[in-house]
Amino acid sequence: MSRTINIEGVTRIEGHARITIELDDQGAVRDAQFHVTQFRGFEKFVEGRPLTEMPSVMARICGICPVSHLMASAKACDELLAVEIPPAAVRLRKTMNLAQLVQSHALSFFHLSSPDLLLGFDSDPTKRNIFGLIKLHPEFARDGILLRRFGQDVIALLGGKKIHPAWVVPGGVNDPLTAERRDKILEGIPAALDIARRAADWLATVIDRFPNEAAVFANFPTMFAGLVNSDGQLEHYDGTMRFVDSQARTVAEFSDPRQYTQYIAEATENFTFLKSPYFKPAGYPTGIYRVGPLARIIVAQSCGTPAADAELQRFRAKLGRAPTSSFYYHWARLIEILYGIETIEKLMRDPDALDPRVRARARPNRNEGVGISEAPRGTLIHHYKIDDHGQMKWANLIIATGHNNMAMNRGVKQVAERFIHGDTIPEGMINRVEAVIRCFDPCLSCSTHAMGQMPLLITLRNAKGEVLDERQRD
Amino acid sequence: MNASGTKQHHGNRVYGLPAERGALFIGYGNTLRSDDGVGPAVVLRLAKEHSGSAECLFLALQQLSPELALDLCAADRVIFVDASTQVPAGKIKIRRLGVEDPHPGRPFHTSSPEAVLGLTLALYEHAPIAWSVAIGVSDLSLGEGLSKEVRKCVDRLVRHLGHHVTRWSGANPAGGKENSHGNA
Repeated sequence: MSRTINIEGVTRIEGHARITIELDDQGAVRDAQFHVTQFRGFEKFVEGRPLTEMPSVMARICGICPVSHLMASAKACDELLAVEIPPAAVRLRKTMNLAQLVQSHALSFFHLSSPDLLLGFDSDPTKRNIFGLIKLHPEFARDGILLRRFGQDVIALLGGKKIHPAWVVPGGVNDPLTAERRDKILEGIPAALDIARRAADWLATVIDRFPNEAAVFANFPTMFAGLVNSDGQLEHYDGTMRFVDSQARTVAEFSDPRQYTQYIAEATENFTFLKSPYFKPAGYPTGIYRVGPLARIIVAQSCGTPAADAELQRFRAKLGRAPTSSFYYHWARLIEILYGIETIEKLMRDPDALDPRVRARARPNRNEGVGISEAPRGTLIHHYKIDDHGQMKWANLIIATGHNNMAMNRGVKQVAERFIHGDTIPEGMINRVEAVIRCFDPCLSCSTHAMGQMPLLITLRNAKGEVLDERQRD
Repeated sequence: MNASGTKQHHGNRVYGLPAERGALFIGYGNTLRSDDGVGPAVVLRLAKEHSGSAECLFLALQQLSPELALDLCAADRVIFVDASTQVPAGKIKIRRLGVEDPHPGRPFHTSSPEAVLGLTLALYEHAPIAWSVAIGVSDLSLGEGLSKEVRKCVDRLVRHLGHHVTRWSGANPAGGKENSHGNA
């Protein structure tokens, strides 16, 4: 008799989801499905809008990572204008993109995932959250607040406000940096770097305490993908898109964003609005790959900044060149925070940081443009087509969480296989199903352009589709 | 403990915020939803008219987020200014705010004044005395700008709150409006 388990409303992720686990006649897990049930449809309703509006419109996809959409959208628009944006604008965009990465990773690590690590995966779920963390480890929570604040302050100092800044525009940015704002950004660097170093030191000492989680948290070989710079180092704004296999050997790479369609295709499943991108040459579902912090530090040879490279060295000494467990996304996030802070400092200390030439102006010169950048959760692709008047005719967005969709589904299945042994849903299984998804830090608002929220429900069904057990977590 | 097990000093402000406790004026709302932007409009006017006040900090925000705890822990008083559909349009309702116990049911990246005060107290063992100023609105349609009746509210409220800015900062406002009691 086959059965199905539904988990509805996964907590501590950006957005909400439902999970179904199907059992076969022998009670073994047959399949697991991560349902994303919201839909907003930005690709459709931007049709007819002028391209100049795209960065600001697309930033509204998400209140958590609007900067990421600003970047990819503006880059696609740069392509439509066929302009090379001024070097100062590139530096400023990079700075804002990294500030976004720091604040988003800080939220993910310190406030969403650290309760699992500090309080234990099997601790009381009503206390295993940020508020339980504040009670037991207030300094850790304060560190997270301060680090996130640093990233948000950098965004506000550059763009005028923390959420949905209208500063990144097609052709560059609309305002050069002043010495006063640069100095304020630099003022925050030492404290931010100190917090990131402490957090990385702490994680390195406790990472071995979770062998069971590391073993089943989406621990399987896949390809990894992400941007690298011309030296093969970590890159988040521009560069070469590289696919590597599970041993970090390069499988494919391309530098022209418009070539992405040769390597990435999208499948759809009837149980979710979240698309399933896959590596096209390998086909679906064989072409599974992962993106995001772990993928990026596997794809890159090195980071290119001292503290991040030292931490990457410690990471690789312990786990090897390409660990296959998604549990290590947490550590990768801290490496990227270090890299982000160090690189922001480097960019701000550039002699030309205050260059007033920050925008190239042009009319539309192409009818099709693609922008690729790295969002905190992974590679972000905006692909636009316009008419001769610059009005949007078509758009396609491939979002970081989407790239990871297949890996998340397989990760949920792997956890379920480990914990489901009967007709009921054990608490430990619920905790870990949530936690494996949180490793990817999915942003469902981005990936489906979701709106609203839903609770978590796990339903166990037999072969006839009858509900055997159901657990809900609000 | 924190990542290193060391105690972190958190009493002073970072990133250009005042090191000593003063007063905070926080206006929040979506400026692209017409009257919903009244909170930021009030606070931006106050900031402009009282730019010489070193003891008062003016923040115009889209929404309240956890990082606000860093500002709140450094303040003795805070006034939250927001649009409300629970108050008749064109009217203003002022009330003292309590502190809400932090609870996991609330999304961490959005908050209410009471919740962010509770978070501040939990994190930093201090929360300022707080008031809510709710401005009755009726037009929340897409677009920038305030309706006529809400604009009048802004004028009244800026005069009223300006008095507090002057009193709390002990400095003359840059705009020279010293006797600006006004009845909210």
